[in-house]
Amino acid sequence: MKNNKIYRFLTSIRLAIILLVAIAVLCILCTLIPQNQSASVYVEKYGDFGASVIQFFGFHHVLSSFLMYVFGMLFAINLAACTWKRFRWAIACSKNKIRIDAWGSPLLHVGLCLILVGSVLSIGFGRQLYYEIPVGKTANVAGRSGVFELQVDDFAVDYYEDGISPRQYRSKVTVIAEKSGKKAATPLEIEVNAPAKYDGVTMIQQAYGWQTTVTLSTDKASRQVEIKDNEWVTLSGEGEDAISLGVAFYPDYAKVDGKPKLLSNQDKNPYILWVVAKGETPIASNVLALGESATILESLRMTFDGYDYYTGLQVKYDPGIPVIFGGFFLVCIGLMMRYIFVKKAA
Amino acid sequence: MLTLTENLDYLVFLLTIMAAACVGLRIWLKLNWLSKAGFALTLAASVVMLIAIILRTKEVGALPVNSVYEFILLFCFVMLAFTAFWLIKVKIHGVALFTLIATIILLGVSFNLSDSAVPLMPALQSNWRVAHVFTAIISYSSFAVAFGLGISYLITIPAKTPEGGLPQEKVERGAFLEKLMYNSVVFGFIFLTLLIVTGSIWAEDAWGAWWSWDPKETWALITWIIYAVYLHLHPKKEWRGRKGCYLSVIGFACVLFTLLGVSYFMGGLHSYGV
Repeated sequence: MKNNKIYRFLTSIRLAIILLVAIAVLCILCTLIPQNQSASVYVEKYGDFGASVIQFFGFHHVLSSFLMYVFGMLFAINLAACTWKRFRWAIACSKNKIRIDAWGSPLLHVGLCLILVGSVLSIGFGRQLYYEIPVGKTANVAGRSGVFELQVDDFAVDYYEDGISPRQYRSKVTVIAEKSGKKAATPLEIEVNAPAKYDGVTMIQQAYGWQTTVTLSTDKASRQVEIKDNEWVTLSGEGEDAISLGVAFYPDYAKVDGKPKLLSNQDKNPYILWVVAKGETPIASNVLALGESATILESLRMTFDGYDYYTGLQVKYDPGIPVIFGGFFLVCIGLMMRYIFVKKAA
Repeated sequence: MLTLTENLDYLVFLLTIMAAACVGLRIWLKLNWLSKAGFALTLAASVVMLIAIILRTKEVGALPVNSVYEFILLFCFVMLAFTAFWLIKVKIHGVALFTLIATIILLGVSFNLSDSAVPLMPALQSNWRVAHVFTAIISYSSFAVAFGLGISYLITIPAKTPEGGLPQEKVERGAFLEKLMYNSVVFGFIFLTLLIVTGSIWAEDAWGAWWSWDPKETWALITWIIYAVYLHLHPKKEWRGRKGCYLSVIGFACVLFTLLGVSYFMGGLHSYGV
């Protein structure tokens, strides 16, 4: 009898509502309390007591907190049990004649179950990596069945009339992989909102940037270095005494009121703004036009050799997606059957 | 110098105020011609708003679904068109007054927003954008109507049943308001589900992540949960009265926070056109 009571509670709508409200409250906390910050952030914002309460209940990482896992698992059990109950009811109702409205609720709940199952598959078996590949270069990418080479042949950006805001950007790539013992080349195009698929992985156009090529030379030696925007190259030393070089590429440079200004993102007048820093303190800085050289440190010269785009591609393998999208379809169909056909039947 | 679209927006504002005045006076004075005048003014306002939207589409070269300002224009058009239909078919003037006042407030907010065309970022260059925005407008409008019906119920139906019971007229009116509120929530919930689904499929294509727990997504889910709770509780008789109305009010508060609060107080992937 006790087991029946526990069973009835675990499969009840009352528990479903309690869990839904609890999950909604956790979601609200997730948006109101800063997530995954250091302890000092919470002490500063909420005081010592508030911070200790937040950390005790795991509200500083709500989505991976103990409470979320417990509520989530109970919800999954409750949802599966309620789905089964609805199926049995729909079968019982449809003994003499199939009732479309009776099948709406089971389908809708099956859809929700599929979304949960798909999410677990995504978390457990999915993987994604981000690649920044300059034009003309190649990266090794893990597909579902093996590794293939991804060669970036071209990259282009369409700008709006202001020349600064991008309308669209796209990569032309070639996938080079072994097929039946031979190397095969497959050309693909990837643009924002139009990912490409190969060997079970999806390649998403996520970002882009500029990469400049400079030659660093002393009296004794020289080397060519490729530097992306917002990247720092260590020239010498380490830690707080490290001397490093960073560059910002200006495709269309102008000096306005003594300050560097970007006129557009089209390469009409390419310059680099270079900064040499010791630790985190800038010690030298200037601009350099394409093809020109400058002494950036005592006995170290830099020549601005060239520039090109690099493309930022997200490569994702996710076996949960077809299950999740199947779940979406069933939820939508089930909702319409449950509510629209009820009206028609009435 | 105001543009033609700006002039039309102000005309809609003026017509909506006049319509709200007529409907408000109809509730007070109970003169039928005020209801007809309110309907005519609301219909005129919705036609002018539609013309403004068409002109804006021609001006910008794309459907106006790209900024909070444009979203408010579309939302107001749907609210006005719906209110005109409501006034002629259902004739619950309290709800019509609420939707007209809501439209006036939203138009007022829009006058303080930039109406510059926002160049669409690459991530927004997708046909899913249109479906996503339209499902948002339809679902939020439905929840706004459900909210109005809930408030109407709470104001007009007494909280405590007097000795001898409520008059039959009140009981029937309460049941009618409650049934309309339920239907509005159902309609809104179907489109809210479609909103979340279209958004998720689009996010997978654009960002490689169908769900990122972005504040906008999270609050849309919270709103969905509140209305799911309402629908699960509705079969119980005690939730087909004031309690259901309270849930409808809470749900609409979540809708407003999802639409406006998140955009203005929280960052995230959805901070477009603000």
